[in-house]
Amino acid sequence: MVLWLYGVNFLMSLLVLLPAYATLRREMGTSLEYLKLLNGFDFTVYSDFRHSHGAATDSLLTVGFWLGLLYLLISVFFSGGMLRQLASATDRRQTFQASWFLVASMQSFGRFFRLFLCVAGFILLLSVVFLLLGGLGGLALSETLNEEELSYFALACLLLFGLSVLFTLCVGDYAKILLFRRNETHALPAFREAMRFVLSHVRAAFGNYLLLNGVGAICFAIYFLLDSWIVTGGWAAIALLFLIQQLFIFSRIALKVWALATATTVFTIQKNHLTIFSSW
Amino acid sequence: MSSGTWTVVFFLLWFVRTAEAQFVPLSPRLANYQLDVQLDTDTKYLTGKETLVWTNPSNEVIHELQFHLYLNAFRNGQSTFMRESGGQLRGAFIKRNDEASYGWIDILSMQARQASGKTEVLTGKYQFIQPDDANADDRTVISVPLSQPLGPGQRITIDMAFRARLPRIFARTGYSDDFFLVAQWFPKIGVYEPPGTRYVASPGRWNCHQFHANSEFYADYGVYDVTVTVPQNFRVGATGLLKSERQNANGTKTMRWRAEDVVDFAWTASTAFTVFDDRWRHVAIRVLMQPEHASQAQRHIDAAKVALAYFDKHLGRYPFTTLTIVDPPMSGLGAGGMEYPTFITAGTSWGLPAGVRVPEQVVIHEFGHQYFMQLLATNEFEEAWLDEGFNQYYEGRIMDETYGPKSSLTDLFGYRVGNLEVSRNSYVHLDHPAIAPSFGNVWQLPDAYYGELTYFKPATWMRTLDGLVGRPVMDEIMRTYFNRWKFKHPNAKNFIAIVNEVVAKRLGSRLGPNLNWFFDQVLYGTQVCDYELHAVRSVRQGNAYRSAITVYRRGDAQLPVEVLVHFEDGSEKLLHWNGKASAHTFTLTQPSQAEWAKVDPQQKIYMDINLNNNSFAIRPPASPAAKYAAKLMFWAQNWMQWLAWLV
Repeated sequence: MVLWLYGVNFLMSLLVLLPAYATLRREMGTSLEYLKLLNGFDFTVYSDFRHSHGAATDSLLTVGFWLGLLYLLISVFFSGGMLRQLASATDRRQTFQASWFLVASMQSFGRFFRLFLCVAGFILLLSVVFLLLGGLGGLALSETLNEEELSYFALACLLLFGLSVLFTLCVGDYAKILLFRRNETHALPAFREAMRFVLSHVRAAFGNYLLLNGVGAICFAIYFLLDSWIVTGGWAAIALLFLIQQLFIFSRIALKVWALATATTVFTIQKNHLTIFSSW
Repeated sequence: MSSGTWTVVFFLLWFVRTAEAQFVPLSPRLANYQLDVQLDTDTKYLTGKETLVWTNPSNEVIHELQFHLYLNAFRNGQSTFMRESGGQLRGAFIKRNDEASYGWIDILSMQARQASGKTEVLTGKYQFIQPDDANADDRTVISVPLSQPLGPGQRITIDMAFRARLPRIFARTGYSDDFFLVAQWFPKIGVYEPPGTRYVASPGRWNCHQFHANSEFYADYGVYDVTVTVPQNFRVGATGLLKSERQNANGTKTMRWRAEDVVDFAWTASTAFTVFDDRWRHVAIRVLMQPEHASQAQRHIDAAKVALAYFDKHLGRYPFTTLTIVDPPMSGLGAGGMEYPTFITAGTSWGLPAGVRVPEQVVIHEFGHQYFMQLLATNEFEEAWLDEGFNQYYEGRIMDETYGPKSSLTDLFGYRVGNLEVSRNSYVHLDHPAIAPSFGNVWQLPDAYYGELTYFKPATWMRTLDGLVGRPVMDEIMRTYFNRWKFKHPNAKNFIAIVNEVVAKRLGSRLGPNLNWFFDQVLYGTQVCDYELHAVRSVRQGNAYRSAITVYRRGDAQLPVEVLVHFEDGSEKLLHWNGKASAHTFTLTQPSQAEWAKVDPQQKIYMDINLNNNSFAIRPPASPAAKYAAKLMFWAQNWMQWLAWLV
C-alpha cells in the first residue's frame, strides 16, 4: 500500500518535474553561469535568474500549489482504502489490491471529507485563539519582560500551538478509525469521541503519534545534512540526490501509514481492554 | 659654533617643531561648543546651556547666523520630517496619538559676544526659516540676524539656554523606557560655505537645511566640551573622551566629555547597559550591550577591530583614541544603525545565529562612517551618496574579504549570501534602475528610492570602477581622496578630479583622456548597463575554423568590456571591445572551433544588470536544470505530504 501511495505521489509530482526541467532548460538558455548553482547556492545567479525569468518559474510554483490541494483531496479519498487495508493487515495472506482499495476509498469519501473539514476548522480555530492569546499576552508582558524573556514566551506559545495542532491531527486519525469501524457518517460526534479517547489514553495515543512525528523530523534533518554534504557536480551526484529525495518522500508516506496503523492498534487494544474490563 | 653646540641647537629646534606640530589641530575648528546639559529621566527633558565660539571662515562680512534645531522635527505632524516620512523611519513608527512620542527644542535665551567686547541680546530676535520648502510649520532651522556684522575671520561667541524634550525613539534620537540615545539635541550652527567651497561661487552662503526624512547631516569641525548630568544609576557613553566624573548630593552624577576635531556630539544613557572594554592599537573600544545581547559583545568587538584594521590599511589612520558602540534595546531599535563621531549605534536581536552576520555588518558599516562622514565631512543633505555609497562599497569589501565573498552576510543551512552582491541586487533589480541619478538633493530623490540611489547604486558602480581600474589603482584613488580632503568638505567634483589624476598617472589613456564619461553615466546620468554574449558560431575553413562571437549592448550605458573565447583544444583568447556600438562581432580563425565565450569574464562591470546572459556555450550544460527541477519536485512532494497530514 505504501508503494501504491508513493506511486501516486510520484506520478503527480512528475507534473512538476517534467515542465520544470523543460522550463529551466529553456530559460537558462546557453549560459554557463548556472554551473555555479551545481555546487551550492549562488545568490547573484539566482537573483538575476528570478528577475529575468521569474514569471516562467512562478507558473511552476502555481502548479505545485494546486497540485498540493489536489493531493489533499486524493488523500481524503484514500483514507477509506488505507483503513480497509490496515484492518485486514492482520491477515498476512491478504495482499494489496488496488480495486479493493479504491472501492473502500470511494465508499468513505463523504464522511472523511466532512471529518477533514472538522479537523481543518478546529486547527483554524486554534490558530485564531493562539494568535489572539499570544499577541495579547506578548503585549501585556512587553513592559515587564525583556527581549530574551519575550522570545521565550513566543517560543512557548509556538510550541504549545504546535502541540495543539499535532494533538488535533492525532484526534483526527482516531476519529477516522471510529468512523470506519462503526460505519458512521457523522464526523463531529466521532471527532468529539476520538478526543475523549485520546485524552484518556494520552501516552499510548498521542505519545506514539509524537514519536512518529519525531522520526519524521529526524529524517528531515538527515536529508538536510546529506543535501549539504553531497556535491552535485555532475549527473551521478544529481541522480544520487534525487534518489535520497525520493527515499525521504517514501519514508514520509510510510510514516503516515505507520501512524494510522499504530492508531488502529492502540484503538483496538484499548477498546479490548475496556470490553474485558466492563465484562467483569 | 662647535659641532656639539650645533647638535644641541638642532635638537632644540626639532623639539620646538615637534611640540608645535602636536598643537596643530587636525581640523579648522570653526564651531567650538561648550555644553552643559541635565537629563531628567522621568520627564525626558533636557535642560542645557550652550556656549558656541564660531569663526567666520570667509573673507566676507556676515550679517546673520543660521542654526539647526533638529529636535523640532518631532514637534508635531506638520514638520517637514514628519510630512515626508509619514512618521516612520526604517520600519519604526511614531505613536501619533501619544503625546509622549513627540519631542521639541526651545531656545530660552540667546546672547552674542563679539571680539570687540560688544554684546547683543538675540533672544526673541531669531526667526524660523525654511530654505528647502515652503512649509511654514517646519521649525528646524532658525536665522539669527546680527546687528553688529561679523567680519572676515572674526570670532563670535553665542551663549544660549535651551530646553528640549526627547521624543520616544522611532527615528535615531530619543528614549525608550530607561534607554536614552541623545542625538541632534542642541542648537547647532549651520555651515557657512565661503566662495570656492564645494559648488559655491561668489558670494558665500549658509548651508543649513531643514531636517528631512531621508537626509542626514552636515556640520563644521570643532571642539566639544560637554558636561552631562544624569541619575547615578545610569551608565553613559558619548562622543570623545571622558575627562572627569563627580557624584552629586542629589543622587545625580556629572560627567565631562571632550571631543576634538569632530562634527557632532551624541551620547547615551541607560541603567541596563552591560559594559565590555577592549583595545585595538591606540583605540579603546567600549561596547554598551543590552544584558540579553551580552553573548554577542565579542562579535561587535571583533567586527570593530576588523573595520579599524581595514580602514587603517586602505585609507588612513583613525585619529581618535576612543570608539563607543551602543547596542539599543529592541524597543529602541529606531536608534540603531547610526553614526556619530567616535560613537556608533549597532543593532541585534537575542538568539541571532553566528551565520546571520547582522551585528558585524552594522558595526562595520557604522564604523565606516567615521571616515565617510566624520573625517571626510561631506554634505549629506546634498550628496549623500558620497557618504553612504562609498561606505556601502567599503562595507561590502570588508565583509566579503573577512567572512567570504559569497557568504559574508548569511551562511545558514546552505543558504549563502554575500554583502556586495546584495548591494548589487538592490540596485540592478529595481523595477526602474534608471529612475533617477544618485546625484542631487536627497529629499528630492524619488520616493522610496533613497536607499537604492544613495547606498546600493553608488556601491555597485564603485565596485565597477574598482574592476575597471584595478584594485591597486582604486586603493590609491581612495587614499589620495582621503589624505587630500580629510577634515574638509569634499564634493563630487573633488573626487572625480582625483580619479582622473590617479588613473592618468597609473593607466595613462587606457580608459580615455579622463573618466568623466564614467561618472556622466553612473553618477549624473541614469544609464543602465547590460551586455549580452549573443552568439558563438564556428564554420570550418580548410584546416581551421572561423568563429564569430557576437556581443550585444542591451542597456544604454557604454563601458569597455573584455570577451573571453574558449576553444575546443583548450586554448583561450581575451578580446577587448569599447562597448559603444549596440552590437559587435569578433571573427577569429583558429585550429579548433569555439566552445564557449564570456563577455566580462571577471565580472569587472559589476553594475551589469544581468550577469547570467554574459556567456554563451555551444553545448550548454543541462545538469543545473536537472538539479533544480528535481529540487522543485521534491519540495512539491513535501508540500503535498504536509497537506496530506491534515487528513
